[in-house]
Amino acid sequence: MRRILFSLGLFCIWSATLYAEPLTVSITGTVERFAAPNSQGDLHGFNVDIVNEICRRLQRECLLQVRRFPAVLPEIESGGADIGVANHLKTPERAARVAFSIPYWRSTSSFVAPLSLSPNDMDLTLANQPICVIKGTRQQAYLQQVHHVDSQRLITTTSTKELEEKVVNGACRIALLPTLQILTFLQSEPGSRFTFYGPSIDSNGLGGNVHIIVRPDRPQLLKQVNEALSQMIADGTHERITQRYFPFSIR
Amino acid sequence: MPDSRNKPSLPGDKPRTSLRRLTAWLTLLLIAALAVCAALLASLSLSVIQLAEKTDQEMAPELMRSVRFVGNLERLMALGDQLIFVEDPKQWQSITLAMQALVSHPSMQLNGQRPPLLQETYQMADRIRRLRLSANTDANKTDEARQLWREYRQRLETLSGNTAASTVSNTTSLAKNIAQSGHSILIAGLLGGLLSIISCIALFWVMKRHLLRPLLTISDALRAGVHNPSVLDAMPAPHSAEIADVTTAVAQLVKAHDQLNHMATHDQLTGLANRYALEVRLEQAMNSCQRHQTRLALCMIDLDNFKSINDSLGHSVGDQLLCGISQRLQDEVRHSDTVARLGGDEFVILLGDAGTPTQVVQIIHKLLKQIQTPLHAGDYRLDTSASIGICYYPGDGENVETLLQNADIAMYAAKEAGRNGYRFFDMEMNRLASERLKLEAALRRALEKNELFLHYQPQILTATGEVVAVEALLRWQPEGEAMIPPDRFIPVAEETGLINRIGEWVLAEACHTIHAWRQAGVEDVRVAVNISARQMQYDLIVLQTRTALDESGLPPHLLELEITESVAMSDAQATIECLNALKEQGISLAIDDFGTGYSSLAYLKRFPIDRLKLDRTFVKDIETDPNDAAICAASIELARSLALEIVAEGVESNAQLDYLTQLGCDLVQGFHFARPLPPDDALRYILSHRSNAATQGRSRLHTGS
Repeated sequence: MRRILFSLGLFCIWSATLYAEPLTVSITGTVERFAAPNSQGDLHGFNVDIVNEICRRLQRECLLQVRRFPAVLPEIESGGADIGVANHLKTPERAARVAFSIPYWRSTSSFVAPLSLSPNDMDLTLANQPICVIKGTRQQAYLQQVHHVDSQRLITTTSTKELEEKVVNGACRIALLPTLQILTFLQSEPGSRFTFYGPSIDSNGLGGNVHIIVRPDRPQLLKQVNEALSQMIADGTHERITQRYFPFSIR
Repeated sequence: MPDSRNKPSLPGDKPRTSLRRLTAWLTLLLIAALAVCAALLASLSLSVIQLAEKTDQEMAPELMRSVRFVGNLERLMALGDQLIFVEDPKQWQSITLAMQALVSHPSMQLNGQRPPLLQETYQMADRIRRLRLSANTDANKTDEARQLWREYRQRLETLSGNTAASTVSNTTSLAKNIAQSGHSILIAGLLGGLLSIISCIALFWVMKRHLLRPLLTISDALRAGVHNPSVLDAMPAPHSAEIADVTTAVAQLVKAHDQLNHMATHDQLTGLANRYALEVRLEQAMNSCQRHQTRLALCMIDLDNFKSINDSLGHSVGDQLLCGISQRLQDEVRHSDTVARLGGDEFVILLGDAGTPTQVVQIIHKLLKQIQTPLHAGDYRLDTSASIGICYYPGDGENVETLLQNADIAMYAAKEAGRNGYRFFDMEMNRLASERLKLEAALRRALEKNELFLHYQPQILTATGEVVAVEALLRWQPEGEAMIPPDRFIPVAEETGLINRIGEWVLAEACHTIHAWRQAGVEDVRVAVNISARQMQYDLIVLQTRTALDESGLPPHLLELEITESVAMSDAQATIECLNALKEQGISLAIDDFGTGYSSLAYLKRFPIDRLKLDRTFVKDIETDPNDAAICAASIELARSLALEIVAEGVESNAQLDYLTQLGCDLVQGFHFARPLPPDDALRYILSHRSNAATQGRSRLHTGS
């Protein structure tokens, strides 16, 4: 009897070492092409496939929890989730709060405006018209810091979907978003009256490398994520996933 | 200290290289060459590594960006090409928006800058979208939009081609740089290898010339053995100081070996072969005889009177005689024959191919004649002769030892036959020699087994008929055998040296016996003991007599030592010193066998002797031979004139006694009075004779027989 109990104890200890908790992934779920529900209601898109591939390579189960963009970084920072996938650009402030993976795609920002609005009037428009922007983004900071848009004209939303709605219903005359994030909207029926307004912007932190963010207290997890991303880029997996959702390479 | 080896020892000598310095310099040169090659290779390899790392760290991402740029440019053209076939304005909008998104993407930058064409393309995409959207009212606008795209497409295609070409060019340039560096490394490696090979060849050549070849030559020369006379000729001409040291050492070694070999195989005095060399050559000659069915003769030569020449004229003269004889012997034999000196005056001639006995005899005769020819040494004319013993192989022995022994036996036979002659060995000689050896062995045991004893023969005073002395005479009767006469074993004892121990025993025994007689009442009888030539050495005889007298307690004047005339005269000066020492002890001295030798009266006068003993040969025929009578008379007269007593021995008749008494002889001894008697009988004889003499006077002398 003692021998059986001892064997059971050893089995329990062995099982415990094998057991690993699932990774929780906070992901924005309202951006077409990156992460949005499909017709069956399943979340799909570039970021979803990237996360799933990382989890497969880490041999970890991942629990994707959809969050609004402003909520993602605080949740990762607080340890509420392990990985955040919300197309984060790297800033010193953010780097002080969470860990950033190696870049896995590159972005620029673009203004979106009705077709009727002439690009020649951009300065006037920026100075007088209400502008939509997603809350907590670099775009919001840019507008406030560079163009000094006050809070009365700056209309913030918590998601791309919400911003698109405000653009369509005329709550704001123009909007500033990541270029690829708004492309699908512009190519859709609701967005057919709108277009890129002026050239894209990649200065002042509005363009550049996009990262996955990781809990700051999990350096080993960050290392594993980076290794997985490097392998995906090297073996072409990243490019194949890109081609599912974009007409060109976004790295 | 300066290294003198590098300097020529004589004018005209070439200065020699020091192998140590040469090796050090060549090693340094080789190390330097290798170091330069290693540094060159390391430098080139480092530059290639840096180039490769630069390619990996900097160029690879740049190339990747270029490839991505071209790829996206191609995708841009593919998107734009759809406009040619698509009519739907919504699709035009979607495509142009995608084109704008693509053009504005960071991947569409080269060297951190977006090409102006792409900025124009961004504007162009917006324009052609607007043109298409307005085409519902003006169909030409679609064509205008498409034409505009075609223009841009051509420019984009050019940009793509140029970028691709630039990328390929960069890649090719990198490959060329790496290949060029690889070639440089290869050339440097080959040059380094070539330099190393040249250095190694130079090192090997120098080592071969200065070290290996000389060493191999020395090794080959030495393989033949240092005894080979051509060793020194085979020594290489040394180019280096160290090899010169070796060749000098080898030369010294060869010289020393030759000297040692000569010393080991040659007699130092005469230069003839010694015993060792003779035995080796005899062994070789015996093998040759076996192979060729020939016969060799071994001649043992012993000079007859060398000892007396050596003793009387000194060793220097003796050595000159030996050298002269050696030269003559060598002159008389063939070059193939061997003349050896075994030691002393013993020579051996090995006649390798002896031929017939007649031929051998002819050679022997020539040898004897040469030896007999007088030889001059300084002021001396030396006359000598030799006895030669000859034996043959095969026939007279199967090995070297036996042959030498048999030749020696034959030589002794020649000596016994009267000297100055030769004898061939036969088996009878061998038998006699064997008996002699047995006798010698038995004599050695005789002392230990107490087989020796003394008999005493009385000496009578002619004036009173009184026994005043006895002569101790040695007797030997081996256990279970008949008594062996002294003339058989005394010569053997003298030749073997046993006479010293026997003589010492005789002295002690005689002294003890006479002392015992003194205890028995015969207090004044003297005992005469014969001393051999070997005992007549100053230290030996003085010690032996002192010991015998001390141990026995006998008064010295009761001991008389008899020295034969020939022994006394052989080295008269030494005899005088020896006799003086004995006389100082109070010992009585007599010259034995007087008249048989060649006494010098000058020396006789100086000898501190008490009496002369007239030899029995003169007494034997004293009545019938006038010459013997004259000798006896002269001897007695001489003794009287020198104030010496004279003892006549061998008196066997009344007539002899009367004649001697008439001549004035003091003492007589012989069978007429008594044979040599055992101690107890001799004592009884003395006691009885003394009592009779006291009562009957001299007349008793005539009845004693």
